[in-house]
Amino acid sequence: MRAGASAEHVGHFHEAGFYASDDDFRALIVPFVEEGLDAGEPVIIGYDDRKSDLLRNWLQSCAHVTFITEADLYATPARAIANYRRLFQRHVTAGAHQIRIAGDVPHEGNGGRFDGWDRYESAVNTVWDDFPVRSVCLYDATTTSSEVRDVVERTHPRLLSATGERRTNDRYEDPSCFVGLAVSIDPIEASTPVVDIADVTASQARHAVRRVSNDRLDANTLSDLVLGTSEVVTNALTHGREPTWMRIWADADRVVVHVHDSGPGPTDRHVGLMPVKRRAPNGGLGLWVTHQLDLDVDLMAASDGFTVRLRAKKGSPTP
Amino acid sequence: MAAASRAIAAADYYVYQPNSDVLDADRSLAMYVAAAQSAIADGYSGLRAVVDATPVARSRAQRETLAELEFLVDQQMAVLPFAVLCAYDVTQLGSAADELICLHPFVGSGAVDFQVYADAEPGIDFVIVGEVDASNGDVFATALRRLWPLTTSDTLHIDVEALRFIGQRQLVTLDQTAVQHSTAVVLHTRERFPRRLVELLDLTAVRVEPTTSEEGLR
Repeated sequence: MRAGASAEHVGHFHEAGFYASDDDFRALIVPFVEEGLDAGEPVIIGYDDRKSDLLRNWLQSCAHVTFITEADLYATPARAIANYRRLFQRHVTAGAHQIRIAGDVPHEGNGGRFDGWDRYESAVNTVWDDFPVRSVCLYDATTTSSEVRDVVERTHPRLLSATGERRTNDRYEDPSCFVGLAVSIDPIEASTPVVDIADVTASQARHAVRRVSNDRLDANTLSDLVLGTSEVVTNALTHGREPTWMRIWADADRVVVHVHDSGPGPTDRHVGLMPVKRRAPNGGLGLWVTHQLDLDVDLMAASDGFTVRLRAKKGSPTP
Repeated sequence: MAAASRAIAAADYYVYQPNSDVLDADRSLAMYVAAAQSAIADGYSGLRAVVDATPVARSRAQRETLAELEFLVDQQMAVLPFAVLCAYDVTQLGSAADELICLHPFVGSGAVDFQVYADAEPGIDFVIVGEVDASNGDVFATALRRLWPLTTSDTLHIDVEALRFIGQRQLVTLDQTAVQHSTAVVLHTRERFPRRLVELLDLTAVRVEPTTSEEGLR
């Protein structure tokens, strides 16, 4: 039996709230955690050190709360989904009836970048539905941009007021219809690419990436970029439409790769965020692998076709 | 002793299955081993052979047993002073030649993108070098399907130190082939990407271990 408002819910119970002070934050997070602890439910907290310390001070006991402070938890949206799934599976196997999670999605207001996390906030409404998860996403209203707030309001079926009152969110968009934010232009893309290959093969793409990146990226990041590029070129050739091309831009310690085909791109808006079966007839595993790497991955659909952008920087964190 | 050479008809270079143009791999190999041992007994330092294998590589059935022979010869070349240069007429065989060329440790430049072959290194069942992706994935899968039954260990040790790339689908193919044969696979390499892929794909039969420094110096 799941405790609290999600007692009758099946799958992921996803809600958001906005706070404007530490007191507001306390009023929202503490009841969420304590209700779970009282019911014997595992509670997973993915906040930064400051917020985690605040929470520890506010709770009478945090012996049964798991604090995850590793930066890798929210390294990329696909990795966050996969990391949490592994934790959920472990708790369900141990007999948990509900797992509670709360964490900070990166956005410019908390020192991160929101690129890609709009898709995450929408996707988690479905990709965790095979687990009894209850999550609360608390955003600092004083640092959250209007653009991010708009996404939060379109991706959470329920919203909490600053005093904890819950209401059904009439702005919520079904994940299958969700339209994310436009992908931001990288300034380097205004320059002339150092590589521009039409009708590219995966082998040519790997060779070009190695040649351009050898002196610009560390070995681990280069390895990820070669792997990711090869997979997205293979996808373009397998599932996309001709003509195809690949372009590479580079500066001293950064490499940006575009792989383009002339088709409409995947119909699944969450492609790449969830693993698919290894023998899936329509593929998808390659994009999932690419999303797990230490790369910024953007999917860009336009009237002239579909482009996958991979961005790699020297010294990217490794898991 | 001075070197000696002898030319024989291509048809006499192989032993065939009865009433067939499909060669008998085991008996062909036995003939080569006997010839090599005979040459050594006669005072020669070894035996070298050059053969146009095109006539025994035309049909799928022929390529099945020729692939088997290629692997068995690799194994013998690792222990006997015996070397073979195989020629394939790609104008006659087309892309089917890739299925056989990829089974050789040494190939002409640009002939194929990857190679799979038996190796003399103790504890290594075979070696994969080059680059494997979707463009040659079918050839790779065919090579694995043909070579796997020729191995006998429950755990196959594969040297992939010189494997520059393998795509996720082709690594899954390797894993699935191992599962089908109830075999475990250890990939030996210092490269990071095979371990990265094995972990991401949560493979069941394949694991990665670092190449020892001794192996790496080969």
